Amino acid sequence: MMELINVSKRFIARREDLLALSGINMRVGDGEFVCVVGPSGCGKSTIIRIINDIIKPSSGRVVVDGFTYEKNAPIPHKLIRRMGFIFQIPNLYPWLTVRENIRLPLDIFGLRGQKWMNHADFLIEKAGLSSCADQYPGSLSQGMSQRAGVVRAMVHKPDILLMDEPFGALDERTRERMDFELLDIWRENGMSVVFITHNIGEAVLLAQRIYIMATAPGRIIDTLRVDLKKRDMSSFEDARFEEYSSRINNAIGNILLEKAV
Amino acid sequence: MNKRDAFAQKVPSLGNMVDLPVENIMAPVLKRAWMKKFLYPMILSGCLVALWQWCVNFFQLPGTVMPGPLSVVRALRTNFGNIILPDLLFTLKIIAAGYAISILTGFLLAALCSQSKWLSRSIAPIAVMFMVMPTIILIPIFMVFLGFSPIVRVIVVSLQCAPIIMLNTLAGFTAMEPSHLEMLSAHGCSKWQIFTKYTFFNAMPRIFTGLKLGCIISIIAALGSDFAMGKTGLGYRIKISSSMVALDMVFATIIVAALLGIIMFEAVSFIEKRVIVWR
Repeated sequence: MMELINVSKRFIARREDLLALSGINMRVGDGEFVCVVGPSGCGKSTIIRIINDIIKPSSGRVVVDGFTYEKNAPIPHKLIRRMGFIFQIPNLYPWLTVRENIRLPLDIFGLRGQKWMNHADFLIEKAGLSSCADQYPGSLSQGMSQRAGVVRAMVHKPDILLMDEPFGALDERTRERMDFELLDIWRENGMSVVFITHNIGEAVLLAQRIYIMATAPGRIIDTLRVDLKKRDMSSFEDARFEEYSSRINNAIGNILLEKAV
Repeated sequence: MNKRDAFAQKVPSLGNMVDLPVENIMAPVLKRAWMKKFLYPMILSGCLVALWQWCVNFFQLPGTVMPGPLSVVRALRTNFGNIILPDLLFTLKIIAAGYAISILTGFLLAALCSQSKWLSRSIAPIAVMFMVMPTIILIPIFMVFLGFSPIVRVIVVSLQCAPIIMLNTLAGFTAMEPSHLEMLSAHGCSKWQIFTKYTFFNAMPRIFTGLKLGCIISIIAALGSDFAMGKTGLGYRIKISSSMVALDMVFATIIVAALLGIIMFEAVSFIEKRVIVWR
């Protein structure tokens, strides 16, 4: 169980301070798939960076399975080991081959031995990266690079997956395919997922629960529980899919309208 | 049938090549990377040497004004073993010692400066000062303490070479991609892990730029210090031959010094290609 309790984040700049997040309360159950949607600049990415302790909150705290961390209390190392982070860009290091990039978290966490190497190779094969595993990332397509980024985040068997618009740079078709592959992985492994996106359709397709955010300051304006019969290509035809999408659209639209008035 | 077609018919193997542009005829040769790199400069150098010899012959220039390339080669052959080689070996030792010290101090200072902005702001301007300062003005100061010892020349080479290696290495250590760093932060990496897994490799291209520039600077500094205080070394040989109006010997020594520079630069480039394999 993961909880954000009254989390705020203020970025201190030279000219003026920016309140990026205000009073964020969020809960992610074990094995739950949660999406955070909202317009650009609403602080979605800041939320998962706070969860991973890349950014410290200005106030409030994060509680994961009884471990609490906040502004002056860093995340316990064993908790970081349980998290996998997938970035908007693949972030592969050009001097490491795809295989070496994927094995990097094992090296960082000191997970040595043939068992882990075999696990990495198994994931590489499963992701269809075997043919390019010994190439440098420079020769890979964007889709393949992102796939390698996803595999790298999962190689140390995390049970919390934090995803920051991972498929945002991909074309519509590739993104759909990656979304379905991600659902398969999630069903198999049962990990908790926090998925950041500004694509409403993608959020409805993937999530069990959606947090809708608004800007200035970044805050949660609504929470939506998604209950689709199936999560596959037929989901797009489901009447409820349309209903959820328009509800999110309206929530974000109303806020933008209020701001304009 | 014109002459060209007739020739092509007579020599069928050459017939196909007659119509080909020069680039295509050379294609099999140019496929080899080293040929691509060296063929054109060699052709140009050959042309310039031929022009040089022609000018000397045509204007009947005496050897004391401008020796021809043939007399330079003769001087090189006659004097290489007994005069130029000992000078070359001496200068080479000075360069090797100065360059090695520069690498060590350059890396160490860059590593220290990358950890502290205050240190970087204090040391970088001094490094720039030593880099742009002419070698010759430093020599009298060291000679007061160390006399004609070769150590003076090693110090001069190090003082000129280390700053350029340090500044390039520092630029490499500090030019970091925030998203790449974030990736390591997400895994809770320590400062040491960040350095060994990211900073060092990320800085590699800039480190090698510094090492290559260091080669050039170290040769200039070594020859400059030979000029100013030496009784041996390539710089001294150029100075003494010039004062004896033995211009063929001056040119022969300059050619050896230039070749030494090219070999050092290419050696570092060769290592760079083997190390930075991902580019």
